[in-house]
Amino acid sequence: MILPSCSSDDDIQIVDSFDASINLKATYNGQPLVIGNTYTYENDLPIFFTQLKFYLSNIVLIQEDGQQVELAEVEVVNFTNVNGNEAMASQGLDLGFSSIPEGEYVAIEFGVGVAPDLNNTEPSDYSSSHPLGETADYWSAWDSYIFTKIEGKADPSQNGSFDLGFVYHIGSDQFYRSIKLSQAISISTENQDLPSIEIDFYKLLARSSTDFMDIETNSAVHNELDLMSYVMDNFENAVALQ
Amino acid sequence: MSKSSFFKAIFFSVLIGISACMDDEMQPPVLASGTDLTAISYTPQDYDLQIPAGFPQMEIPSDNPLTVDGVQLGHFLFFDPILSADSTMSCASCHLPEAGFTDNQAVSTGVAGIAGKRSSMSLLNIGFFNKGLFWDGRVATLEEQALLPIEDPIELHEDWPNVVSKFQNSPFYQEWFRKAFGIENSDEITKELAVKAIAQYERTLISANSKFDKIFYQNDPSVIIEDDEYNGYIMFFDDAYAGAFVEAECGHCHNMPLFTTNDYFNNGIDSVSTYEDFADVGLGAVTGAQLDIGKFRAPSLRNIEFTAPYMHDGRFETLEEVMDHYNSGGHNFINTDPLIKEIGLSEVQKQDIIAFLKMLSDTTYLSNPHFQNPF
Ligand code: HEC
Ligand code: HEC
Repeated sequence: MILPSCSSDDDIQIVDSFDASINLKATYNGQPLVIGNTYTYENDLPIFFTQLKFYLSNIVLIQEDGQQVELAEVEVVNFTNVNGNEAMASQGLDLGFSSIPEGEYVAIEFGVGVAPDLNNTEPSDYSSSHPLGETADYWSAWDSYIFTKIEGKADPSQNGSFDLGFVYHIGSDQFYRSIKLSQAISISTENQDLPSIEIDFYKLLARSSTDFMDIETNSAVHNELDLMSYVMDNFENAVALQ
Repeated sequence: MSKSSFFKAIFFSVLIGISACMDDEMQPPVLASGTDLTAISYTPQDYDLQIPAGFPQMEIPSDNPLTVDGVQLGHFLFFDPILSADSTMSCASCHLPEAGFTDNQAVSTGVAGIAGKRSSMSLLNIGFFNKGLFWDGRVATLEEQALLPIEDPIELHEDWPNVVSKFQNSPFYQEWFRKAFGIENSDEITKELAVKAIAQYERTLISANSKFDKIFYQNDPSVIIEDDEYNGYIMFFDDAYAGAFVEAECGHCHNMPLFTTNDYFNNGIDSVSTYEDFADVGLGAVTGAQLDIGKFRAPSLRNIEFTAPYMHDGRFETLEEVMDHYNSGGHNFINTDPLIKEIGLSEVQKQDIIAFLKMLSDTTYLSNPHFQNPF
């Protein structure tokens, strides 16, 4: 596909554009995270995850001069099925984008959650195949999409019973977080590689062995504003270029 | 029959006659065995499907758009016992309008008197259930689904070639298949067309006129929410920042506007110690994944007041029993959903949630002939 673009001296240049995708992997302490597999959390707590899902908004590539090229307005990243087995977990999932103009970029930026302008809309505004068309991910009591759902089970008695469920649902504008990852990204005939990104779900819940979400005392985060920011603030650290 | 279509009909038979006569071997003319239907007018009109306020858009397969006559044909088929082996049962026998399109039985029994293992499901708002049909999600579309009950020995126990020939020989259905799909000869009536019509009708079974809808989506100022209903709403949707209420977590799996997320869960009704202990493997049989064993689709709670008994095997007779189950935290097993835990509702609070559930009852569809037996 060919896109016209204006250069500084007002000549019309013809710029090629390409399709490319970002690979996303869920990890736990650096290992590919498999839904249903048991991991050790702080306090030696055995846990496994049952649902891992979040929205990304305003995904853009940034040029050296600060100009932005939008890759997508909003996408939903759902590891719940993708991570069903080891092979799928190490493969991760791909978010595909089309018509990315040829060029040299210095960073990728996105928001975790649904950007405030989009968060003013509701699932009934979309078809059900649209990322924002899913009624399961909209919480009317907040007037907001559920930006992230992290669910799983823990086994405090360590006898295999896994009788403690944990459910972290977070949403509403104040919890929207922007993340910028710097890396030289070149889009050209020779090269259409976008970065691969890892999201470490241990780091999403824990900052260090002394500063972490206590799953046993806070097994549900839904209206607890401080804990909601705690998790959303952690995205910055949990997300890394591979 | 209009004049022009009458002539068309004659013209066609003449043509067939001529081409037969020109055959070298002078074989007797090969006439279509069915009835020519071109004399019946075919004027398809889009069906005006009204999507209620707050509802998602409905996914309709592009090869089966809703037409007025297609929906009407589906309406007839749905209620017609011609679909069963001994002409005693129709779809509506297990999906009764007055029972929220269920049959109020724990498990359904078909024409042969054999009881199945699962409870009938409400078909109200079925067009919005887009993550698989049946309790275990084993079919994707309404078209695909409607093929099954006819030949299922525990349902209508008939076979399709037989049903199709009943349609082909019925002047009534000849006319309606023509009007719905523009077929030119009764031979063209197929099971594929029959299920398309049934699916069209099912997509029109929309119910969204409950007290909840009037307050929440229609902003009708004349409808007042009672205290118990409001308290129930708060607990159902965990909307309780203040400590006075208990979070009952229901809304996460039974989210508005459909009062289901259409997702599959183990909601802790079975006491099991291994995956082998589940009497019904549910979603596990469909996906093959161990974690999915014993998971079932969370049904919509709209009109739940009319659809007792409850759960995939109809084990709970009343909403009180359902509330007792959830309040207890159910049975924990590895894949019991993290949201299922002891809630700690008082007797009054349980009743509050039931009062809220009853706000989801829509009785207006019952007085609408579109939802009743057309015969
Ligand atoms: C003998 C009783 C019986 C008859 C007759 C019957 N059904 Fe059902 N129906 C059921 C039961 C039981 C289920 C749930 C079965 C399961 O989950 O395995 C069901 C499920 C369904 C579903 C899926 C609902 C959902 O939410 O996923 C649809 C759609 C449906 N039936 C339509 C029909 C149609 C159309 C007919 C006529 C062609 C029909 N049924 C005839 C008993 C019956
Ligand atoms: C973890 C998800 C989940 C939660 C939380 C949940 N449900 Fe359910 N619900 C389900 C599933 C799954 C079923 C069907 C289970 C089966 O049949 O095996 C169900 C079935 C029901 C039924 C029976 C529906 C029918 O047509 O037979 C009712 C009533 C119900 N739930 C009410 C509630 C209430 C009230 C709450 C809150 C106290 C609640 N649910 C919480 C998942 C959930």
